[in-house]
Amino acid sequence: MSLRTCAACLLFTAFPLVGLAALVLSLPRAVPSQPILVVGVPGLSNVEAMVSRAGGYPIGPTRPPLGLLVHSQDPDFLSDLRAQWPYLLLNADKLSNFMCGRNA
Amino acid sequence: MPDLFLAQSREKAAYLLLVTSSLCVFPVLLAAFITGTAPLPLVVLSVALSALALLIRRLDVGLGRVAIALALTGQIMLLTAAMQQHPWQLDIHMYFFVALGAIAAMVDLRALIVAAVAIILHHAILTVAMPGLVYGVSDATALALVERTALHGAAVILLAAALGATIHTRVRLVTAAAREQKATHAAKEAALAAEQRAAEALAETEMARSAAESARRDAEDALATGLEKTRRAEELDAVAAELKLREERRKAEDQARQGEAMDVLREALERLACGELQTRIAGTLPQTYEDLGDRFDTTLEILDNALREIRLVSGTITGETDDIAAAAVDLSHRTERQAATLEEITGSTEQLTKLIRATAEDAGKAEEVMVMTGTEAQTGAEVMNQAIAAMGEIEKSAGEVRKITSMIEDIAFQTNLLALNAGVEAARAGDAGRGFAVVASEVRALAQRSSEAANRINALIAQSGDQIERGVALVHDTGGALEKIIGTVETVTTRISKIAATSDEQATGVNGINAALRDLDRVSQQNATMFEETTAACQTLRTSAHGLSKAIQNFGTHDGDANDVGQAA
Repeated sequence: MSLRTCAACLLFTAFPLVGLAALVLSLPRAVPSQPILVVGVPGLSNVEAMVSRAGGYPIGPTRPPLGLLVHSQDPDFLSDLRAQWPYLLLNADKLSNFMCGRNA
Repeated sequence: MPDLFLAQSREKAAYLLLVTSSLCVFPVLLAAFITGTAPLPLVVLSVALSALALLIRRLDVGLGRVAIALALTGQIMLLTAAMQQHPWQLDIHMYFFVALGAIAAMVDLRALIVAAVAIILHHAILTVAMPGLVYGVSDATALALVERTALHGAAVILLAAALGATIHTRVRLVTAAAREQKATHAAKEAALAAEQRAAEALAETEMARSAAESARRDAEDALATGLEKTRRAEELDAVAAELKLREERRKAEDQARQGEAMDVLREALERLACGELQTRIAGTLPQTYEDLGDRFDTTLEILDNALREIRLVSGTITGETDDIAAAAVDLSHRTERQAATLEEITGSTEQLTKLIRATAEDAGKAEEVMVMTGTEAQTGAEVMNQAIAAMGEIEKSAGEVRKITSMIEDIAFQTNLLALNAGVEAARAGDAGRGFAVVASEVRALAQRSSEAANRINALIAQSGDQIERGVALVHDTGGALEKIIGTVETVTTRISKIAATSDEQATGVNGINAALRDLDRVSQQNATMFEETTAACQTLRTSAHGLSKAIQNFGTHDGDANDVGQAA
């Protein structure tokens, strides 16, 4: 195998990276008055306290595997939650049902 | 040729698909605008996919086709994501099938399989993570989503299988066509080679026929030439026989003339053996041998002259050798006498050498004795110095003694005064001091005797001092005499040393003279021996010269009689 072929094979690893970037960029951002999936830094962030300080509350009968599904009637809830510096805030309404969505 | 055509077709399809992938950025941008999605990230990713495919194609053409397939499917995925939540999002899936069909145009199974696997993975992953990006719904049940994914995946697999079969068939047909074309080409090459070999064989046959014709003509020419040569050889044989007869007659005549010349030569040589050097044969030989007679006469003439010269020289040599022999005998006697004289001189010089050596030894001994004398005189001078020092010490001690006696005189004077005072006091005391007066008189008498004794000691010391001064003067004189003796001894020692050195040099010189005389004696004896040998050689030479004269007298020369008369006289 020549050096050029090796380099070409190495470049193929960029395709999954492009896919991953597309996936991350396509994740639905949280919007006010809709359920939010709050993802904190594992082991460092206390997500429940963060939500409580922002004036929100957890929803759903069970806790999803990633983060915490929360909601609030307060129009400033989303901005207050962003001020707590969570890792991710996603629109739970558009996420998969069986992963982290509101019907989990 | 089919291979080339297939490769060109693949490259052209790959190029078109790469262009298509690059152009996909516009539908993606349009979809983002329609759905309100942020367009910039999608545009960047779309351009990145095309750039990756182009780069990989530059590095490796085969892998470039796979990269183009991935880029094209990635563009459809981006288009689907851009149509997120749009009612037509599901319809965009048709373009996955379009992309697979277009990828099949590159006739590369690897690219087709990779594209199909990428589509299936895309559906599977997004079914789990973001169904809205695939199907535009997010509230369907999990089972429904999996079923839809399975349905779509099956469709993709079926389409990929159909397209793969098509590609495989095409490749197989192209391979078969290429193989057939190669076989046809090989057969054509073989036919051309066979035709060329046939042409070469025909040319070789023609050349062989021409060579055979030429050889036949050469053989006929050679036969005619052989017959002509045979005829000429017979003619030459006849001429040679006639020449041979003439040569035999000429040889017989030459042999007769040669016999006659040999007879004349034999007779002349017999006369020459008898010592007749006046013999001449010129004019008696046949005409062809005239030069032989002339050379013979010339040789005898030269020989006659040479013998005449030898006779004269041998007479001279005989006279000279007689003189040399007489002189050699005289010189030999003189040399013997000279050798005897040299031997006597050698004996005298050896005796002289012994005497000089004895003188040198005596001078050496005298030098040793004088050195010892000088040493002893030096010791005597040192003793004299010590005696002078001792005299000085004695004189010093005498001065001390004089001081003591002076002090004794003072004491005696004081004692005398005291005794006188004591006598006066004893007289004043009367009878009570009478005994004391006696003692005082005795003390006074003792003081007077002490004073007298001290005066005598002073006189003796003064006398002793005069004697010491005279002794010191004498010792000084003795030391001066000893120093003069030491100087004289050193002078005598130096002169004796010079005498000893001169005697050694004389002995060495006389030894050299002895050696030279011995060499001279040896050379003289050798000369005497050589003169004896020379005398013997002269005698032998004289005898040989007489023998030579007698031998030459056997030959008669033109003036031989006159010389014989001279010799006899």
